[in-house]
Amino acid sequence: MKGISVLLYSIKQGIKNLRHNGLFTLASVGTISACLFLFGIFYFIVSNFQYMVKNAETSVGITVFFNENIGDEAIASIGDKIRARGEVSEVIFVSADEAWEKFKGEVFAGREEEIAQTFGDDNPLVDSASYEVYLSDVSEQGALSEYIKSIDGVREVKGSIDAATGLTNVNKLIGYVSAAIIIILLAVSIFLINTTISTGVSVRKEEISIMRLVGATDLFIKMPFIIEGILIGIIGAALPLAVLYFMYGRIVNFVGERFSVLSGILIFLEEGTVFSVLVPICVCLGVGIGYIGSIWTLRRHVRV
Amino acid sequence: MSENIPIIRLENISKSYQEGVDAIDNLSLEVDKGEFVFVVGPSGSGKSTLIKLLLKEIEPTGGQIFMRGKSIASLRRRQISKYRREIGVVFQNFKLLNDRNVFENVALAQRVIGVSKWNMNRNVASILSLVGLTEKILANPSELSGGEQQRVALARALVNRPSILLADEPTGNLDPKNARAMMELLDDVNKLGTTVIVVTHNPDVVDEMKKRVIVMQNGKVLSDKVKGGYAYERY
Repeated sequence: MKGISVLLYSIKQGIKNLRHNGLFTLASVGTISACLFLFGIFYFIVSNFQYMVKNAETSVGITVFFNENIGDEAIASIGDKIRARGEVSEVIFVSADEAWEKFKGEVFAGREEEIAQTFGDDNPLVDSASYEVYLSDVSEQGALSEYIKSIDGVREVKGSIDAATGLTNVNKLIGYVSAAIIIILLAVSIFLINTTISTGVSVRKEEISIMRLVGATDLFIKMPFIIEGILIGIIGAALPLAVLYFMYGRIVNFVGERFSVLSGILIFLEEGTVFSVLVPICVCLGVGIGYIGSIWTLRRHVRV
Repeated sequence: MSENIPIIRLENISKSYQEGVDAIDNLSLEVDKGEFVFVVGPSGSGKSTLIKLLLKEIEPTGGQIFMRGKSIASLRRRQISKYRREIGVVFQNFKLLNDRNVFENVALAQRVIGVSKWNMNRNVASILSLVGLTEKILANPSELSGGEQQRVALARALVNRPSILLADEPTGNLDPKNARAMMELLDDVNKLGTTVIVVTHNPDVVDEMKKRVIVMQNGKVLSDKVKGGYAYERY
């Protein structure tokens, strides 16, 4: 009961502080909002890029060819061994006939008669039955290729390791750059909260000294400022989230229409998927920035 | 046994500031429970430092302070808050919050120790009645006279029922009539059992009240008389 009344009092004082330090509050809320807005934009880019890379990764596979006259049982056994690997997401068997049909379609499109005259019913790719192996994590491609090569009956393994590595590297680079920018923005936000709370402390210097003298605990004195910082953080998170929510669908539609040629690649995450992660992260960041900023300031300025 | 232990005991207390100034120099004194003590002396004699030491706002550079026989040197931060609840303080400049009315100023002391709203209302009303300010309960400090403001400060110092009341120049900003009224109030508070220590420059009130007078000079006790007077002390 006592704790609740102290908490209610602290909340009331915290809100009062927000109003009292109007301009500084606005500056802090503005900075946190700007920081989290940029964070949200980066999150849109990174999460959607990762999603697109992931989709692209699943189309980057390994082709496994077998020794001549190996027999269906041995091929099936190889398939089972590959499927048993954790990093493998899908294994598709492509028979020699299917390989020849696909090849004809890709290389000799429109020249079907010429091909029919040349090859008749013969299949020049008679020993080209294969497995197309897709991975859940493309960075595992090298290791998997080595494993498959070691299986009896495997003649050749063709991978696209460069494409795989390239996608992984781009993904990592975007992650690092956004992390660096976000860390800088967070530091700026904490600095500004520090200024706001410092102002609040100096405005209430007299009150703090009186509270100390009448026996207020450290927590009682600091709580309103901590709540002020947290409230600034929550408001600073709510504003950009509202704007980002409003923007997301429109950005996705705009990009989709503008770059319709790339519609096969530009596959965006659903609004709900993005915001189910972004909302808790932004709120936690806002609260965290407010809390750390206020605690840091109070440590230096308020001591019982 | 505990009745014989002084409520405050200073044992060889020294306080030097970084600038090399010795504000208190090997000072020892005792104050018994229920005593009324004046501490007088010229500016720079160490009176204000003594108040700060008793409030544990600053630490002595030597010696120990005992409250009811227990050293306050090793109190932790949380214990310091509780220790201060035993001491009410009144300052020359009142230290009232001008953005709050009389009730809220006094209630602040109750709020910090977590008193329930119902008890707080009752206690504040009761203490304001004691200092004669019931009618001014909703007034802002800026609307009050100096004497009234000092009575609000006194009410705030007393509302938590401290064992000790420290008054640092309580009549410094008051006219003679209000000064006398304030001292009468402090005397009443003392008669109710609170130990009262008044630091003052006002010879009239000291001479009139015939209480124990400790004269300080250069951080030392120059004299300590049970029924002393300011006029007798020539320092």
